[in-house]
Amino acid sequence: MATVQQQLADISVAEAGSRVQTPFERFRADFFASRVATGSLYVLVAIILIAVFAPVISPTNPYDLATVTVLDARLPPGAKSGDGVIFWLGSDGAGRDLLSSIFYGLRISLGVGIASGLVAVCIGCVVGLTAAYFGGRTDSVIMRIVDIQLSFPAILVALVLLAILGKGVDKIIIALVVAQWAYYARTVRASALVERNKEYVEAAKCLALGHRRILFRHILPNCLAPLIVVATLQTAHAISLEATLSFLGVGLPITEPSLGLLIANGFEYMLSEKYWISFFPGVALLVAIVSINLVGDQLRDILNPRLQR
Amino acid sequence: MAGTGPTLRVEGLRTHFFTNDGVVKAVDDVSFAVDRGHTLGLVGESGCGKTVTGFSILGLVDPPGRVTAGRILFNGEDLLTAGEERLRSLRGDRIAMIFQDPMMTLNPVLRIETQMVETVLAHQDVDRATARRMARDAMGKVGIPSPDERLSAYPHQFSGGMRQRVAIAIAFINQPDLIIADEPTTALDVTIQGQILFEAQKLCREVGTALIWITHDLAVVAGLADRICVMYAGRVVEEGSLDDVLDWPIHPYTRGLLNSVPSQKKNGERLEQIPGMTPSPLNLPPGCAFKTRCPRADHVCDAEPELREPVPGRRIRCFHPHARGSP
Amino acid sequence: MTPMIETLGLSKRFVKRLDLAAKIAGRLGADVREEVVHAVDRVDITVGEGEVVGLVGESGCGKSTLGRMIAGILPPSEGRILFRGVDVATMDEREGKKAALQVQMIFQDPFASLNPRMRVEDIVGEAPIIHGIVAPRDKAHYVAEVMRRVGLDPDYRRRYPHQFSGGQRQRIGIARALAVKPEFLVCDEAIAALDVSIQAQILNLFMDLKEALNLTYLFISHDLGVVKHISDRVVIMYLGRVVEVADKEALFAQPNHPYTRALLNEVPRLDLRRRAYQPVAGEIPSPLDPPTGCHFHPRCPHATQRCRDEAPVLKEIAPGRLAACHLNDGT
Repeated sequence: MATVQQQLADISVAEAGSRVQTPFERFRADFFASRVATGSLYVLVAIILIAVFAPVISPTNPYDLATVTVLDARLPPGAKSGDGVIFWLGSDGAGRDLLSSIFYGLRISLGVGIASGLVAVCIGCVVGLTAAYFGGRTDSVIMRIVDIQLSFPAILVALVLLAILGKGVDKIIIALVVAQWAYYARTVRASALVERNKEYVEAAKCLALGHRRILFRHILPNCLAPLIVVATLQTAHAISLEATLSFLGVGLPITEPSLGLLIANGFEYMLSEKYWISFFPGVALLVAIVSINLVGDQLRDILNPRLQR
Repeated sequence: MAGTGPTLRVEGLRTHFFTNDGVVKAVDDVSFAVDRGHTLGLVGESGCGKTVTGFSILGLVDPPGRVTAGRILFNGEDLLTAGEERLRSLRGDRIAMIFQDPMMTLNPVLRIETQMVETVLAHQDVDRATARRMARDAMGKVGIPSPDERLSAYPHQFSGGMRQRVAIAIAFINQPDLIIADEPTTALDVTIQGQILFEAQKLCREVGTALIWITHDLAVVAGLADRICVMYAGRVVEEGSLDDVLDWPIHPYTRGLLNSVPSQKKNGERLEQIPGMTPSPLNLPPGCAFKTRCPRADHVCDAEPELREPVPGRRIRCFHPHARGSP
Repeated sequence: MTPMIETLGLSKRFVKRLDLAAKIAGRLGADVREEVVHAVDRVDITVGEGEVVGLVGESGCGKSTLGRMIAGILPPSEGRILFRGVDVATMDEREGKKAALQVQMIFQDPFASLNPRMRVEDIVGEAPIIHGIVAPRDKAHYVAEVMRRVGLDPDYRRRYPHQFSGGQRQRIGIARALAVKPEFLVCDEAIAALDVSIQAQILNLFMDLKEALNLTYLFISHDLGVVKHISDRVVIMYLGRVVEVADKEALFAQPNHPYTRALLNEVPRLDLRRRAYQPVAGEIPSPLDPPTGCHFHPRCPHATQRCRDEAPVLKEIAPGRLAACHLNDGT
């Protein structure tokens, strides 16, 4: 029965004087309780490391025009290039090593996804907190803007923006930020509304602490849990959105291909036995997104306030 | 059925929860009996195991908890060996429960009528119209005005006090032999609490239902119960008739509890407080669980005290009980 | 002498305004109205220095709202609050802040009243440092001192609220209030959520602190036994209005207002065994839709036509005793 479990949780907590676990230690213990999540976290960390150290660990530099030659084009996985380098995953239509391309592509994909996520989180936080805390007209106006923004499909917003702004990494980050900030604003506002009515916020007001302090030192830290979950899952979404945009040929220039562009490049070969040119970038993208989602799922379960002690 | 022996007799009940952090002995040797038409007040503070006792009687304890020992004799039948089918046929019919939060009884998406009729039809062989009439009468009996209209309402259309009355009506509708009420008035206002207590008293008298009233509020028990049973850290520490226990408490915990309640005698003076806190059930000290807070404790209390009956009808679990009549 | 806190005609209305959709529906003929809750209705109370005033009432009576207005958490809709004779609304920023710190509140819920992400030393030490009451380098020492005063071991100051029991958390809340050196504490059901034996501990703590620090209390509670124990004077509220004010002894010995009498009658007492309850009829009305005239008339055994039409005024019926009931006018 729920109440009995609750009572149990209350009882085992009232043990001041024993095992001083900080909230972070508790969080860590809860997270690694799931093997799936632990595995996904390792994969995710590996992917991030690959992305960061791509120039160091890639067998070749696929964008060095000096070494890339069309004579190496469309070689199957495991074949050797003219220079004697093994193309573990084959080569694409222009003769670039696919493995190296994937490493660099992960870099772009992850970089764009995470960067746009971070900026969107900051904007969303400020907007959501303001709306929740000040309420009234401020809240109405802000939330109407958010609602309008959210009623457009993200991809449509991004496409329109990119059509106006043109190509480039910075431009695609802007487009992704604009497509995403509204989710964060809504999430933060929802948590902040709940926290705002709690007695510790009233106590802070009673102690004559200023608005800014109450917002950022009291309310925001308690809104982080759902925000972290949404941010993780949204980052995966941003990465896949960016891949879609690149696949459609919008956004990133050919000189900085993300995984989406790599997939697009190999599309024409899909039915002519040279599957690897699209397939392996596709798998890499899939693995990245799934691992982020699984980590996000576990975070959502353990940060669930109902189970919080 | 009734008449021979108590409606409910609990003997040596133990309910343990096997959690990752250890074994929580939520109920650890609880025994008491309730006669037909009588009310037992089961009293204690949070964590003492009184709610889990109530759930154990009804077989509502979920894993990781389970009843590990004891007998629960309901009209002579041991509920612990009865099986889930039998328990299901008894619940709502012969034994009913009233919870602190009436929304634990009431389904928010069903009309009151639907739920009450369902309860009747599940246990009695009557037609729908008769069941509806019984529901209407039950609503009237608990003092809900215009019962015909209110039957077709949803729970959210009632106030808290009204909802609790509906929960009581549902509990009494099949005229059970035993009702377990778990803090039903704790969340209600004083004047509404008075109404609920009045209804519960009246119905028990009419129907002859045995009532176990679980609460931490000694004053409520004083107005309602025939016998009182005090629990601490999963064990019964004192039991006896109401007047006897309240006027002559002999267990140091009961005494401390009574002294903690502001009353006539101690106007404006410091209340005698029991120092410290209830120990965590994961970490009970060996021997008497109260010894860390007891002014009379000594090395003898390192052994576990048994529940003794120094005088018929009065039971005590203590090595150093106060003498009856001592200050 | 000037009372420490005085409220004059203090009211609070909560208005649920119609949004655009509802306004349109209203124009089209739907029955939508602005919902107004008169949580507090023209309340005049005074609390003298060093006094403990018990504020009693059931749900919807407005006692918590009144407490929050006095503590400065909620702005009043109407009326004035005087702190030591000075209207708080007329104070400049510096004075106003000083006055705000002098009036602190202790909350009911020991779980929700502490920020779960702050350590105890920060919960207690934040405000004094920000307001310059103590220098940052003396924080640890000051926090330890305040914690000791409320009966907490200072060694625990780096812990988080979830590592404490309900009673200890309540002590942390009291420490937080005391850290800014207040003169007046509003205790809003401060012990209601605690176990009986812990209630006694905290109640004793309140009484000790009052003596040691010369504090004044507004003690809000629904528990008449506790109010009787700790208060000097008692104020009874019903549905937003004050219905009776009296010294403790006088109120409990001879309650005047029918609601007070019913309340005292209903309260379960240890010495009343196996009583036959005679409950007050009727439900507590909703503050959204209060009865006309005297709010209590639907449940009052002595109601007259005048009670239905005219709201009674709070009048002095004896030295130091006030009551709002038409029945007093007859005598």
